[in-house]
Amino acid sequence: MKIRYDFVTNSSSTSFVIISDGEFNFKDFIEAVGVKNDSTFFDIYQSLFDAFRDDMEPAREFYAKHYAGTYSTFEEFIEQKLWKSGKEVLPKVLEAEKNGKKVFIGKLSSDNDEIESFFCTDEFIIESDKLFIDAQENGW
Amino acid sequence: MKLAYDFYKSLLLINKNLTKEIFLEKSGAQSGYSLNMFSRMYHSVTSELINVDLEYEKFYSFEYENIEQFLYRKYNIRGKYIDELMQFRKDNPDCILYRKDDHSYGDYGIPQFMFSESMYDRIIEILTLKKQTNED
Repeated sequence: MKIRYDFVTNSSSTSFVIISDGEFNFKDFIEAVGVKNDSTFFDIYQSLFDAFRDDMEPAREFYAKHYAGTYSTFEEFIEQKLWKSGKEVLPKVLEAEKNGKKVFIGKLSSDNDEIESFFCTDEFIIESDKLFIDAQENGW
Repeated sequence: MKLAYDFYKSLLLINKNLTKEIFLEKSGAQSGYSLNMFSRMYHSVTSELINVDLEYEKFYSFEYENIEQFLYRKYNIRGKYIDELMQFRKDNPDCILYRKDDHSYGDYGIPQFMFSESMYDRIIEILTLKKQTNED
């Protein structure tokens, strides 16, 4: 039996897709984010990078492990699980795989800290020549 | 300096010389997502600002004898906070006292985050164009 006590609060998560030309690394990430290295806010983007890195999994492994029973194909999973931008993201994912790029999926959570909570509730795309991150699946 | 009053309303002291360009330059956001994010922060904090001094002079000066009385009686600001605001203004004559609805910009997350514990001092430093001290 479980009895809940104290405050009950809402929590949320935002799915993200990362397409990376090579390993997902901080240097490429910061370049794509567009913040100066000496910015006083540099640390919040470090936190965002850490949040991505700590939760991301290779996309096809993520599908096989968590959603193969729910969606009959990987393509269907991308299109339908990412309900907001899946249709636009799917061709990018397939093209990236064809070109040997790495594709990851994960989620940001509002349960960890206030910095990740903000990014979890924001909707954004981070894009450069080497990196594409879609975090628009905001469940709020 | 930011002081919350009533439901989701705030008094803010913002340097009169602050522009979007200065705000972005001081944030270090130069392109991509960071530029988008800090642009939204600037628009959020400057949307629907009401200059409290002008409001007092134009509409309430016949009713309240000074701005301190106006803040105390009209907006129910506690005396100690009015003293702090007035002292901050005295020490920072380039800052203008504004009031606003916290969510007038329509994006709930941005104002919530920019005045969160992680961001507050850094944002206030930019808004007032002044280095923060412990007394602020």
